[in-house]
Amino acid sequence: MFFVRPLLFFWVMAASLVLSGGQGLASSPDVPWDVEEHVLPNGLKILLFVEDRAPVVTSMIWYRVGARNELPGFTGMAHMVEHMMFKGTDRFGPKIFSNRVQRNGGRHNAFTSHDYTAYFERMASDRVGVAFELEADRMRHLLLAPKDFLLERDVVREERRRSIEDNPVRLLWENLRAAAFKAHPYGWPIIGWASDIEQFDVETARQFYQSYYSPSNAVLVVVGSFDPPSLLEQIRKEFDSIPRGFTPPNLRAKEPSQRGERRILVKKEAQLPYVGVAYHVPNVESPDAYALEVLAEVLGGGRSGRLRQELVEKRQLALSAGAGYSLISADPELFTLSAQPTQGVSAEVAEEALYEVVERIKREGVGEEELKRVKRRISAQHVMQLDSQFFRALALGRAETIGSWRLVTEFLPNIRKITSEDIQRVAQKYMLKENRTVGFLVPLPITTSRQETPPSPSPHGRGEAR
Amino acid sequence: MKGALGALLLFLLPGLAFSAPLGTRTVLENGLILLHSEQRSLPLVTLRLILWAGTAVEPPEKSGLANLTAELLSQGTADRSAQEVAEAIDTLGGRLGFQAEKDFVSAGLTVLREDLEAGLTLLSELIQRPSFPEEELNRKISQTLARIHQEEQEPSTVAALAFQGALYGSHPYGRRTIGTPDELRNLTREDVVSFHRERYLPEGAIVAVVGDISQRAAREALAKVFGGWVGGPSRVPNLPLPEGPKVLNVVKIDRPVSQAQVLFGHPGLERDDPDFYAVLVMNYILGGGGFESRLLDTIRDNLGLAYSVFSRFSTGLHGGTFRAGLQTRNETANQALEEFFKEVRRIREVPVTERELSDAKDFLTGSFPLRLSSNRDISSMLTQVELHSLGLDYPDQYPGLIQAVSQEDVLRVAQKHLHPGQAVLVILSDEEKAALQY
Repeated sequence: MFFVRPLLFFWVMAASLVLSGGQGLASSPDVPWDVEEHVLPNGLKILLFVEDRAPVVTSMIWYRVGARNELPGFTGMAHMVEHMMFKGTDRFGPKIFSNRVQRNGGRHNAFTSHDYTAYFERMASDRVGVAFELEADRMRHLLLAPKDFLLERDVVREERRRSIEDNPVRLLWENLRAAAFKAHPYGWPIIGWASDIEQFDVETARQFYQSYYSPSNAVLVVVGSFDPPSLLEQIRKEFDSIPRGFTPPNLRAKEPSQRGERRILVKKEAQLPYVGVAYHVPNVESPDAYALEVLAEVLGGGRSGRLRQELVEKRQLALSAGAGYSLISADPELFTLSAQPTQGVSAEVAEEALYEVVERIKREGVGEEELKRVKRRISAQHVMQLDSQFFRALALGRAETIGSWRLVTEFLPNIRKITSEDIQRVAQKYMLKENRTVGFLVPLPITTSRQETPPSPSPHGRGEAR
Repeated sequence: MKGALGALLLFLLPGLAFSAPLGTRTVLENGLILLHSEQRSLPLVTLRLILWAGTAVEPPEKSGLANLTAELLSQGTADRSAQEVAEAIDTLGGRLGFQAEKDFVSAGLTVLREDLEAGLTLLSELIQRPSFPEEELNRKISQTLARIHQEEQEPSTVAALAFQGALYGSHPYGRRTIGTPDELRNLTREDVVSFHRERYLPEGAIVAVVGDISQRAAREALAKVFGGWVGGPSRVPNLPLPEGPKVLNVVKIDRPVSQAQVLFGHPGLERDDPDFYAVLVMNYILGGGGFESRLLDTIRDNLGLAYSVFSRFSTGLHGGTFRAGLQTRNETANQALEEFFKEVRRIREVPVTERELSDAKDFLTGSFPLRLSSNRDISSMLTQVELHSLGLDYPDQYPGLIQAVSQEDVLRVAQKHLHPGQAVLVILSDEEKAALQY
């Protein structure tokens, strides 16, 4: 169970996922998205996509609820409910969910973002009925036992310590977001502020669950090897009887335009400084979104991306440098730049170097060869992502949750239309000093007076994020 | 390029009955071992190449050389500058990269079928004709030094390095892949050039090709670009197995952190040990089975002490490792450790229940097809099968090997392969708050 936004790599992978059917770019081959769409009478949207390579299925259920739907003082509640979804129902009690899935050879997990909460099971095709039964059951009948709730709250506090508190770069981004958004919930962390998590109570969690977990607020995506009519029959059997439920209210919050640069510092034990820059930009509802996607790729994509070439390779100012944007978000989001300065380079110098690269695009646009290469990369990447069932389901679910899964098929045709002038124009329009929030990580010394020297060498690994 | 092929993670390696073999195996004229599986549903080809040029074969006092050499392959060739190589890779639009690991360097290439020839040509140019410009070498070294410096700020990395160092000492597996600052600073272009000359050889190297291509076409395409590449054998000689600690060696690191990082472990069994499958089952029950494992059930679900708790056996080509880990707030480090050791003792003293055993077997056998659901998965499995001589009928063998494990086996292998008193225990914590009893 993990939350999505701070895991930037996950985000970036998902961002380049979106895809087209039909005419490939240049010579890229035709890989259609043959998606079958159904809606049950209770409002549950179903997307089916057959892929016969292996006798396995990925089933994902998406709820249109995330940190975006929370209130101040209760931040992190969507993620907390995600955790509680594994703690049993009236019918199945605690500790049954994982046992049923894994005994059937399945893997499962869940993730929460600002816009959505999603649950998935991956299993052999002949066992997928187990997943439907369990998901339908926990859509309405969650136990939410007070004792389990308090224990799980402690688990989430540990999760926050693990992913944010002791990680200086994550902590910087958390603060940067909070400074960039004044009125919109995109400003608070998906996992929630520590003081909010500490005070979570089970009754609020129950209200949250009851408000947002219903068929009319959900999308079921199934990708893999199956016969659609009989799979649909299995789905109906489990989900048809669930009442429609309330339609959650629309979110009113809207971020006002920024009127001047904001700068923040985060002081934290670290070895090197770090700089992040965030500009307010539109989402897919604006025609500028596709140009911003290409701009992000020009700046931060692949090995030849400009920020890497300039800051890391040529000027040797940074260990890494990149750009981030995804047009798939429910409300307008951020376009980010970042650099990890190398030893002896200040955050200020790295920051200036980021702007120099952007200013050049504002002045000159992008060369024809470069644009061709970037578009070709975007196009080839999407076919490669199709190798993974998980990512097919992820792409469809994300797009449907914030709008329509058809965004996936519209992506490449729209990317193809982008010209150097478009890129130059959006850079000029959004990458303005008045529209940016800049954050510096200011390193504090790490060692305590009681410090012992750790023994040296070797390769490293990390625990699984489970 | 991701994934540690060198460390076959046991809990990732499960099974079910397949009637067809995984693929085919042939040896090309220059000794390159070709593994192939045809998958026509997407217009893609994935290639994975294993070269015997990992950290385990670095000369003494040249730590970081294998990684540096692998990284410099894409920083310039006889015909192209570093930037031209970067542009060529991005123009392909595919993935192309090198990763140095303990036992080998793996090269990965994924391209659209129509770009295969271009991709292979570029890959072979990078492997056979890198120019290793002095300037790029110096730049990579100073970047790596800065990276080492930066990693000191990541508690999990600091703990992992301390664990590896304490466990392996001077054994090649104790080496840090990216090197140590003192030895890195002394590496020269000559070192890189001769390491490349001696280790980047085809005889005994392994290439797995999976995707929209016939075996014959794959063979021809490889012969075309790698035909002139000769030499070897380059397979790594047998290294001595690492010696484990004789007592519980506790390494404490004091840091201003909000959460203690705990790592525990010792040398583990080898891949060809007949107990391997019983250990797989045993470890699923102990700490490999995610939400179904005892460690997670106790420490996370019942006590709320940690978000992540795991145990795993990994098997390199020259010895395996058992490793378990958790993170908990400083104040509960003692309690979490006590619970951890309690579970390790319990699985060594009391037989697992019949239900636990059958659940573990059902997961391990039932989830096998998930391990073969993409071209990438298949190429990984093919190389693992070759590295550990498992046989191309491995998917057929696997369920039987798992099903044969009994309750007695689980108890026996727990006693034989878990050593709570002869191990390394690393605890990184804010010691004032943690008041460690270890």
